Formats: sequence, C-alpha cells, structure tokens
Amino acid sequence: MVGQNQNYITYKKRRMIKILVQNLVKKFGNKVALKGINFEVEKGEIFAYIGPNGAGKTTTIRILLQIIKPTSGVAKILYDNEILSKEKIGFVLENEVPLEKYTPFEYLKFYGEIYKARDIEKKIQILLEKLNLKKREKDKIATFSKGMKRKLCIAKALISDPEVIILDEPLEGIEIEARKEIRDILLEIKKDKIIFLSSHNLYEIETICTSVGIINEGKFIGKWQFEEIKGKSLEEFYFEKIKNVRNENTP
Amino acid sequence: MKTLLKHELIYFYIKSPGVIFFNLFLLLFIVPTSSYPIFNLREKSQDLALILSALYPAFVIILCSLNFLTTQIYSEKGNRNIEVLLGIGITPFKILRNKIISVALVNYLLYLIPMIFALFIFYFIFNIKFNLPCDLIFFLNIFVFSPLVGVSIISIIGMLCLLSSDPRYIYIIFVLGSFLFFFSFPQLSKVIPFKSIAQFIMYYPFLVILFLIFSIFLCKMVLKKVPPEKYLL
Repeated sequence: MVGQNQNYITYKKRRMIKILVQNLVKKFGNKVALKGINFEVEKGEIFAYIGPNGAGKTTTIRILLQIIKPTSGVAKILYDNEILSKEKIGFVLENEVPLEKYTPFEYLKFYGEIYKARDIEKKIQILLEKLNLKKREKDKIATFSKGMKRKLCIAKALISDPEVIILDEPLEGIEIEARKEIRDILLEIKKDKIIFLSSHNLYEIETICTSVGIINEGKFIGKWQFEEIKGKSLEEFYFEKIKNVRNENTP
Repeated sequence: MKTLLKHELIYFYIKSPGVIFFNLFLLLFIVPTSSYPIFNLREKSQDLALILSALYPAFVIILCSLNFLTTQIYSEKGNRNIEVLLGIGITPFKILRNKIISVALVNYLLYLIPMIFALFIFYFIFNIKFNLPCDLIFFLNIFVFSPLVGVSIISIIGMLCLLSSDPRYIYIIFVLGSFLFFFSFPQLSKVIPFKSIAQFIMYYPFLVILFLIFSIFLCKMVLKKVPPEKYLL
C-alpha cells in the first residue's frame, strides 16, 4: 500500500507543470519594459495578469511564448522541471485576427496540423459545438462578428489539448454572450491546466480566476490568491496596490 | 513543412482565384508583346538576345511577385499571423521559406503559361523559327536559369519585406533600379561589347546556382541575427 502511494506521489510529481518567471528584464533600446519580474504559477491556477496599458503584460507573454528573448532573467514553462513542448501551449495574442478566408473548420484544421494534434476533426467538432459556432461551420470567417472571431482564436488555442493556455486580452471588445461562452469553456477546462490570462476586465477576472498578479511600469507588485483579497472588490484592491506603489515612488 | 506550404498555396491563391486570373490575363498580353523583340533579335544579334534571355524572365517574375509578397508577408505581419506561428515554434526562416516557395511556384506558372502561349504565336503567326541545338542556352535561360535568378531576388525582397515597416520603399527602389538598368542598357554596349557579355553567359548557370545558394544563406543568417521584436512589434 505504501509502495502504491509512493508511486502515486512520484507520478504526481512528474506531472508538475508551472510557469516560472525569475528576475526577468527586457529592454527595448533605452526603454526598460520589464524591471526584474518574479512570480510562479502552478497547475490548476487560473492566473490573472493585470496592470495599466504599457505595464509590460504583453511583453511578458511574448517572452513566455519565446517569440522574443529576454534581456536577462528567466521565463519558462516547465513540465517536470523540463521546458514544456510548444505543442502543449495554447495561446491567443492581443488583437490576433483569425485567417479570414478560411471556414472555421479549415482554420482549426490548419492549426491542428501545425500543432501536430491528434483526432483533429473530432476535436474541431467538439470545440465548435461548445463555442456555439457549429451553425456557421461552413461560412467564411470574414463574415463573422468580432466575438465569433475571438471564440475561434480560443478554439485554436485549445486544439492541441494544451497543458498551459495563455490568453492576452481574450475578452476585449466582444459581446456579452460570447464573453459568457468563453468564460464557461475556460472554467470547464481549468482542471489540471494552467490558464494565464491578461485582461483589463476585472469583473471577468473575479468570476473565473483563482489568483491575480499586478504589474505596473515594468515592476511586478505582487501575486495574491483570491481568498487573500476577500472582503474587497478586485477593483478596490487593484487601485490600492497601484496607489501604494505610486506613493512609494513619489519623492 | 508541407502543412505550411499547402496553407500558403490554398489560402493566398486557391481561395483568391480572381487575383491569379487577373494576373494571368495581363501576362497573356504583356509577355508575348514584350518578349517578341528578344526572339526576333536572335537572327540579327544573337549576343544581345542571349543577354536579354538571361534578364527578361527574372524581371517579369519579380514584378509579378511584388503584389503577392505584400499580401503574404507584410499583411500577415499586421494580422499577427506570423507572430502566432513564431509562438508555435516555427522559425522566421521556415515561415519565410514557405512563403517564398509558394510565391515563386505560382509566379513561375504565371510566367510559364504566357511564355508557352507566346512561343506558339511566334512560331505559327510570325514564323519565327527555333533551332533547338543552337538555341539551347537561350531556351534554358528563358525557362530555367533566369527564373531561378528571379526566385533568388524574390527571397531577398521577401526578407526585406518581413524586416521593413513599409515594403513600398523596397519596391520603388527595385522598380526604378530595373527601369534605369534597362534604359541605360544600350549605353552599356559602348563600355563593354555585347559579345564579351554574351561569352560571360556561358558561366551563367553556375552563377545562378551560386546566387541562389547565397540568397538562401543570406536570408537564413539575417533572420537568425535580427531579433523578431525588431520587425514584428
């Protein structure tokens, strides 16, 4: 029995997934976009990464996705202490536009093949059903509303059944129904995954996220579990933290 | 990367047949009319015809490709589709390579069909005779070597298009440079006789292959050295 438990623990340990950011610095010429950021996100968390425009959220995401390289420091997505394969990371970039000449099926099939996903056609059907896009399966994406396009980008991020999902402003400028559908699907898939969400929409964050990290002017202010900020709204908490930092910085 | 190449061909060409047919229709008119003097020249000045056979196809293929390069590289950059592919782990060189192969394949076909059409017209209507063993280098230039020069230049322009914030400047420089070259071409014969250049054409196939290797190497090195943030953000 003990042996069995030990095996189970070993198995659980091997499947450890985490996002690790240590002393992350990014400079664009003379401008310092990230000033030594540190945080960790673990399996099962829906982590909200919030901050004002130009705080460094998108830069952090680009480094995590290895689109750009850091000036110094580390930003890794680990699976059992090794770098997680890119096929297991789903993502949606800020202002990403799906391939509009394709139908949803063609679009998801293309990315499914690029991601080398299994059972692509079956997964497409499930995703289209869940995101309420089945009726428009054969229409060109160009004819879709902004919300529907965003939902398709999310479906693309999920096509490879990823362990980590990174979403940069996924709910920006989309209608209420689409927002709810995206929220529901994220809550459904969160088990055993990491969802890293950058957003300005504090209401959505409060509804779906389990932890929050605040960044301001390239500095990471801190990370909190939602239990720690009970009694206050996220908006109050956010402004309090931002105000404290600004006061500290004022001579 | 068959998936990427298939995507480039389907998404940019099969899904937009109108652009292909429009270009083909234009070239069915332009290629026979503009290549006629080159074929006609073979009897009067074989040296000059040989030189032009090494330059003309490359020029046509590059001119046709410019519009497609804008759509496939510059617009895709704006739609963030290149950034998405980078995020999935595809290198900038692989992305560019598949785009260039698709542009080159389609534009070679767009050049080839009107050129074969032109040969039929020249042979049956204008009675221009072809002497295949003698004209072998001429035809190899028209159908193989000069288009390969075009592909090499397309890959360099494609790379510049990926790196630049406005590719129109590259096109303007290329088009102006090309016209300047063709207009000053008759003057060139006063400095270097056509005969000397034509003799040089014997080495053309080797130079073409060297240039193709150089352009691939150049794209690979530049895209390895220049970080994506310099051209994507």
